[in-house]
Amino acid sequence: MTARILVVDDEAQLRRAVARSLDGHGYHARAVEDGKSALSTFETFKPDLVLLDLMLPDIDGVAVCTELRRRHHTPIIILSVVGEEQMKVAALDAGADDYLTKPFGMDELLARIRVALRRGASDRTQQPVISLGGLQVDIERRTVSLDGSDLHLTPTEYSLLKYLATNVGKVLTHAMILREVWGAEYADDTHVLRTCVNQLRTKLGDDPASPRFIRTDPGVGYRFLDPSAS
Amino acid sequence: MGRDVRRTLSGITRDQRWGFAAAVLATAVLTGILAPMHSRIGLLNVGLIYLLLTLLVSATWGWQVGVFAAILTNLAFNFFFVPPLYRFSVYRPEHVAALIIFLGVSVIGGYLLSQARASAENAQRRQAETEVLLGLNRDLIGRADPAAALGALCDNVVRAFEAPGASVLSESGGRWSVLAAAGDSSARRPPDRSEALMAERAVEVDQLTWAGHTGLSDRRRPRIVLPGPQRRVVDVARGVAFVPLRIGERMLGVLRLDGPIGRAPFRDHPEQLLDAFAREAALGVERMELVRVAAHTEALREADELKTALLSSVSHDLKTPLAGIKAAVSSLLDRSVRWTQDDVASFLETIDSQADRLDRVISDILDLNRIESGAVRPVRHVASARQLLEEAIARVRASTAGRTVSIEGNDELMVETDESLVLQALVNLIENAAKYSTEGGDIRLRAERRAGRVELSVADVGPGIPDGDVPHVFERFYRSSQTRRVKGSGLGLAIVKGFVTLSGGSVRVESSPRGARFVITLPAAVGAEVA
Repeated sequence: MTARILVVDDEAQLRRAVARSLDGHGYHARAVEDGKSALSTFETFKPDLVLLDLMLPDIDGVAVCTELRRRHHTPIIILSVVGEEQMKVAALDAGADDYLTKPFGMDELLARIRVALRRGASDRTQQPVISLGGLQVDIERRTVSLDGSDLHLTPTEYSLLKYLATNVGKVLTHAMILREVWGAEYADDTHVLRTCVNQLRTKLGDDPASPRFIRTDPGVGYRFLDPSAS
Repeated sequence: MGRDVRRTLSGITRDQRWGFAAAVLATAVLTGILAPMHSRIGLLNVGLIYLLLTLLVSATWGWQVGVFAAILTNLAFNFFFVPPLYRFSVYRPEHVAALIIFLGVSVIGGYLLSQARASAENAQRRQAETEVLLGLNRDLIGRADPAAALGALCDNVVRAFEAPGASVLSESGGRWSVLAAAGDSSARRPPDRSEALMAERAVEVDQLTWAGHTGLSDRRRPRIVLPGPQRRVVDVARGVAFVPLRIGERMLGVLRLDGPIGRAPFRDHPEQLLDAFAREAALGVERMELVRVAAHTEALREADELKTALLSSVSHDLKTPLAGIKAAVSSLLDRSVRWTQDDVASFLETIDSQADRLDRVISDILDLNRIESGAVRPVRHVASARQLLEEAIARVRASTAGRTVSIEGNDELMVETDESLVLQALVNLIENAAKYSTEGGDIRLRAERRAGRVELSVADVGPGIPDGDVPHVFERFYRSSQTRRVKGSGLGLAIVKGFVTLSGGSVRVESSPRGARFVITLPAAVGAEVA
């Protein structure tokens, strides 16, 4: 089945080029120019993924993101420009899955789309065991093994890994991770998060410079890499 | 020996030397009058008359001359009036006592009187000093730059001392030059060798240096004792004093005051006032320099803020067209897809239009930078208003496609302006109208004469500009909340204003719910109109 992609951007030329390129790559793209049309088209077009520009002429892109997420868990990829970092993080906090900074190449966009679509297709929160490129997280038994050998994680490290692994491919902001793993009152303690991520990386044998599992998005958060993505 | 005498006398002014002579003369005259009739007036009266003379002398010439007069009158009294006459010996003990008391009263009375007079003079001088310093201070506050401040200092010095001239000298590389001067033309003279040496001396010892003992009187030809091993004595044409002007450790220059000075309160002791003047002027200059540094810092800060604002404003405008280009180019480069002719044409069209857009943004930034940095040098000529409008329309044909752009009004109007700048402003205004007005709406250009000037206007049909935005549309980076749907840097109208102002004109906007009208007002070319 051809995946449907809704492109929301007020720049006519970019909208047109991206939609045409997606069509050429075998997707079914529909392009709209503002937030209101995005929300109405979302209902009729029923896209499998939304590409969302943050600077829209009518409704704030973050608000559109919040509203889309309220309606459905369709993956959302934010298209942002340098200088919109705060809006970008707000949109990710509001439930967007990933972001891409303009200008971007189509190959990069296509790769992100593939990851997001796969994520949308398989809801890992229900799986008893998450298996990702040699890493196995057994949710029921609360055990982790890497390339066949057991890993000994602290309860916090386990919670962090579980949260990242169940959201593979999705950018998780600092605030989201802190709220989920540590609790709402820790939402600003990024250094606690950084320390724990470092410990987890050491145990996973992961190199932050060329990560196998956990990638840092500077100033934004972390994402668990999808080993099946190219 | 000679120098010792000079030092002993150095506390005595020339006036006082006249006092000694006057005391001798007055005593002689008084004695000459009183001596023949001493038997008739009585010893006590004679003593009182001498006492009166002593007190008068003290009050006039100071206590030193007073003591001298007391001794003199005492001797005269003893010699001519106290028996035995014409001898300095005294027979009766009560006469000895009387002479001692007479001397004591004369000396003490004279001293007190001269002190009272001196303090009155002192107070008067202080008051006068305060007044002239206040005057200098007022003058300095009004000056904008150090050179003007030094000029004000010279003016004030000349006025306060009633001197023929004053100047500020500065040394650089062993050469002295005049920075500022006031008074007669000779005040501007460059210092000669002897003056340069004195000025150097003033700087070296960091205090007032002058020729002669006050140096500023013309009653005796002043002489300069030059420092150095030879200690050469040089006669100068007139008295002159040098006062160092110093800010902290830095030597600003040397104040040169030409004699003779006239004003009484400062004539005998000009040094205090000169020092005060020098301090005040140095402070004034220092304050000015600080103000200038602060202004420079402020200018740098503003320029920095502008650059930051410009960068943040244009980063979006630069990146957005790039995003379109990148998406189109990366698609075309992707060999995995077989693009149709239609696809390829569409991608190329995106690249072309976005490259143009990028070019416009960059031109805007460069234009604004040229205006802000003062790099635009307008050249004004007589030009036809109609031709300017026609040329502007020709340049915006692409961005006004699908609209009717018309020209109305007087065909013969001539303006005096920089054509290329006004043309650029008109192009920006027409493109602006095309961007923000109702799609496909007419754009009307008009040239008309009003109040001796020529108005070129660009009117559109559309929603107009919200009232709250009207006062701000010409500000850099200002974007109306209503125009968010149209991407722009917020620079276009700021550039229009910059160009029109440089061309010798002004620009304003009139807005109604039916549309906006931008009006450029330019000077009419003199005598060129055929109305």
